Amino acid sequence: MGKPDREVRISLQTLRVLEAFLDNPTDPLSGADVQKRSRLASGTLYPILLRLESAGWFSSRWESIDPSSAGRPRRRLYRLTSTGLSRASELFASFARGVPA
Amino acid sequence: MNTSDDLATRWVRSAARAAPATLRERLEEEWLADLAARPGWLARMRFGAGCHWATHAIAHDFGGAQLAAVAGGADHALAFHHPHGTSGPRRTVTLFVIVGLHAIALYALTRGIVITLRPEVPPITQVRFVDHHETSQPRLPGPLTGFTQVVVDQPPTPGGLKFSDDLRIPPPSYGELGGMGTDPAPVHRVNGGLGAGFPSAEDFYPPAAKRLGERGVTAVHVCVDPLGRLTSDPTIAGPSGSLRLDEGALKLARAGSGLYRPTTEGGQAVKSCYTFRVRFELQG
Repeated sequence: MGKPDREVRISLQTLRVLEAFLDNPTDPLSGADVQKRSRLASGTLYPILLRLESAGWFSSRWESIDPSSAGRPRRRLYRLTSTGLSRASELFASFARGVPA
Repeated sequence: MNTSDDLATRWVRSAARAAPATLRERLEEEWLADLAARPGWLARMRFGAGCHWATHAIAHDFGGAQLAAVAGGADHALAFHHPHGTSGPRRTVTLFVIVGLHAIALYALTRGIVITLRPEVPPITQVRFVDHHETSQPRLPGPLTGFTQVVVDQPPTPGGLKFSDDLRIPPPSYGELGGMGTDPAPVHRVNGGLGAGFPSAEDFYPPAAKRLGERGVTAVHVCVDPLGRLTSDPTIAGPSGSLRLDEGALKLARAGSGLYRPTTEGGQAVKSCYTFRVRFELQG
């Protein structure tokens, strides 16, 4: 399915995206929500979301609303997978210990 | 929807349509939804520009990859080959191109402002008279430097020079020469020139010639009576190559009538003709 975790390029921007999810790991977030939390530009954010999704760290689905009744288009929601949560937790823990993941 | 929103929407759509085919619909819907959540037209425009960046990065990451996911409503996870892992080099090149274009635009703008603000200094004109010895060969114009004064006088008086030696000096009357076969006595002769108060030659530099940057030397031939007045209309003895400059020299010569210094022979003013040159040159 996804590519091996070791191929995920961990940059500072990637860490900021992961950090945005780790506040409430079970909450699904749209790209706009992640952007507010991470303060990344859209040109940086969306490629990272797609990379992490392709690596199996994220899953995504469409928001379950009726656009006509809600008065706005449905959003794409991302959430951490168990793999992503595990890897992100390890990653930040290793940074806390001062050891590269 | 106002114009900026419409523009941002078009921008986002065009960015999404440039993405890999299997992601186009998904990205377009996703980005338009996120665009609607952004407050302010500036944020929307920035979002649209960012989507183009994102498209480039995504195309670089996923171009030619086997995209297993579709952009439909199902909760698919993307599976693709990640060939290089980064879009850094392309971004860096693009960044340098943008910075370079800004630098060129700034340079051009600055230069344009400097040229516009720099006052146009009119050229300084200098007109000068050049002494002209009455020789049979017209003198060529000298170098255009260093003249600051009018010099049209005092050619060296030849010792023992007989009038008959100089064909351009009007011959004296026979009565003055004495009887036939009698050698005339040597007479001290001082050629005429421009007297005190002669008009400023600079005032006669034709404005059109100044604008055109014309410069040159005009030789003017004048005939002057003992009182320093012109006895005939001055003529051009040596044209400068510019009709404007020649005309200016003639006007100057006419305006100076009465202010010429007559030729003297033995201290006595006499009628004479001589040539002087007027140099028109621009400084600066």
